[in-house]
Amino acid sequence: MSDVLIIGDGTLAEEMAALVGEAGYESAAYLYSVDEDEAISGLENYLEEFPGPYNLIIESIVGDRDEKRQALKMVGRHKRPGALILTAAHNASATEIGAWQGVGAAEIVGWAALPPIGNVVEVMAGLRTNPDSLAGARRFLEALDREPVIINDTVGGVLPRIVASLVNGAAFALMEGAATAEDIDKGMKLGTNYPYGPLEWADKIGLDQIVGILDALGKVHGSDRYRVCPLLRQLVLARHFGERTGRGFYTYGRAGS
Amino acid sequence: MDIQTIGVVGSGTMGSGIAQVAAQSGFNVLLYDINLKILQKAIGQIGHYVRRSAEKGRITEEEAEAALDRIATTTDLLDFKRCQFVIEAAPERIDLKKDLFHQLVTATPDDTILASNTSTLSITQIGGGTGRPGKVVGMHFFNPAPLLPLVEVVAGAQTDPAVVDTTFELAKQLGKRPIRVKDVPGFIVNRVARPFYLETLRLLEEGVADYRTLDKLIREGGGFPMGPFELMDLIGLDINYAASVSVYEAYFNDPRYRPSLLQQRKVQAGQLGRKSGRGWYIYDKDKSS
Ligand SMILES: NC(=O)c1ccc[n+]([C@@H]2O[C@H](COP(=O)([O-])OP(=O)(O)OC[C@H]3O[C@@H](n4cnc5c(N)ncnc54)[C@H](O)[C@@H]3O)[C@@H](O)[C@H]2O)c1
Repeated sequence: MSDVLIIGDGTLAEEMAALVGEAGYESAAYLYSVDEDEAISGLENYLEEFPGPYNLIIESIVGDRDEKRQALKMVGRHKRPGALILTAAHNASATEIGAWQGVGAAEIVGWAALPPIGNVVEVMAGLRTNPDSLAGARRFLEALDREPVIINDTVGGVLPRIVASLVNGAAFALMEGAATAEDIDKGMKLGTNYPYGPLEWADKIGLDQIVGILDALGKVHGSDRYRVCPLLRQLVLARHFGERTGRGFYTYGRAGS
Repeated sequence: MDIQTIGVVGSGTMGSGIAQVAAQSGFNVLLYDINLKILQKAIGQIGHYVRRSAEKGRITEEEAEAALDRIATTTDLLDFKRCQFVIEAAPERIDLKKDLFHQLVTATPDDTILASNTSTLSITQIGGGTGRPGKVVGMHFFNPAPLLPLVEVVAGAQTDPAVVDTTFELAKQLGKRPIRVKDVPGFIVNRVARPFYLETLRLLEEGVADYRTLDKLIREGGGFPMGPFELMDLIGLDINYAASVSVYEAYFNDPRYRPSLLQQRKVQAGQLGRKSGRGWYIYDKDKSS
């Protein structure tokens, strides 16, 4: 029987599932693809087949807050009492998730990272999180050979918030015709030494995930600062999520041709 | 278009770097500044860098001396009549640049291209009213110009597309990797990079983590070579803050670019980064006290 359940909607979730596997945990993963409209009923079926109970649940649903809420409520019934839920803080703080009905606040710990997952992972406790849960999250991430770095609970964490904002700004520049996508990425790599150009990085992370982060930031901060570039939103509506779907700011492989 | 002599206006950090690159790429260079003393200092600097790269074996001694021989200096803009291309790298003030471009239009033949290395000012505004706006273009090098490969070639609203092409080709002949950019505030790099600083400053202001932790998360979590606070210290907090203010104002106070109060206080306190011994981090206790 599996120890750890991973549910998620993007490349980040896939990478996390791989890390958990490499660390030798018995794990089950429900990683749904973007083209699946019935993500939540799919999860329901999955949990019927693999009901647990699990000792730890990792959630990484960043693209859609409704799906995240429904999924968390559902998986809550498949964990051992007191078992920890590591939930992606990209689109909701740990405190907010803890306040959602049917999700136990004491066992919620927020985490944040972006693909490719680096050596450190951000970890945050909600205002009602039990200290033992935070300690458990740290131990677990160390077992994945990642350094947990504790920050105060905040939607979007640190890295996702910064990179999503960079991508949004680059998307505005593209939409306004300030330069081509290639030149924007080239300029940022040569001019600033960023590891990736913002647009190619967005294609790796998933445009749906970027918009999920920005929408949540806009909602929580109530600021125009995080308003999503209309071009970015259009691409997400067209399900051009990036490398994962064969098309985002750029086109990959045969898809889209 | 056959470019043989490149005029460079202003022999400071950028002007002398650009003059060096142009001379090492085989162009004759005419370097202008407001007095001889400044020019002598610039020539001394360029000589130092070029000879050092010969010592390190990157170029031969003959190449170094030949490059240095290609640089002439002047304090009279009328001498620019022999330039086919001019790159302006004078102080970042619109009145000063507009005045210079007026003089350059008079001093140079009609088909001479007049490029500005401005980081924040509008090329359209610099070219407007010169009577030759089609020939005015942006050529934005990065500091240090001899080392960094990027050049933003900026088309103003009235710039002739052929002038943009020529400038792009010239950048390549200078061994650079140019990109084409429209005349938007901050162009691409300075504009798109703003959230790297501003969003991180906001996280600090919100008390999400201290600056050290934020740097670490961005470096080790994101793979950025430097965290924003380390980078601000390197660039200079005053320079970085001024860039944010300039982009913010140029976008009519768009909240996406709102500068940071915390950073303003650091600048007011004279904690400017490495150059003052202290910025976010402390470098030199004697200097910073
Ligand atoms: N320093 C950078 O990192 C950097 C990078 C890219 C672009 N720029 C831009 O390059 C330009 C120059 O910047 P800098 O850092 O080299 O400045 P600087 O202060 O080092 O050099 C400016 C030079 O212009 C000279 N000068 C003063 N008044 C003049 C006049 N009326 N006419 C001609 N020359 C005059 C000064 O004597 C000085 O030598 C600015 O527009 C700046 O925005 C700077």
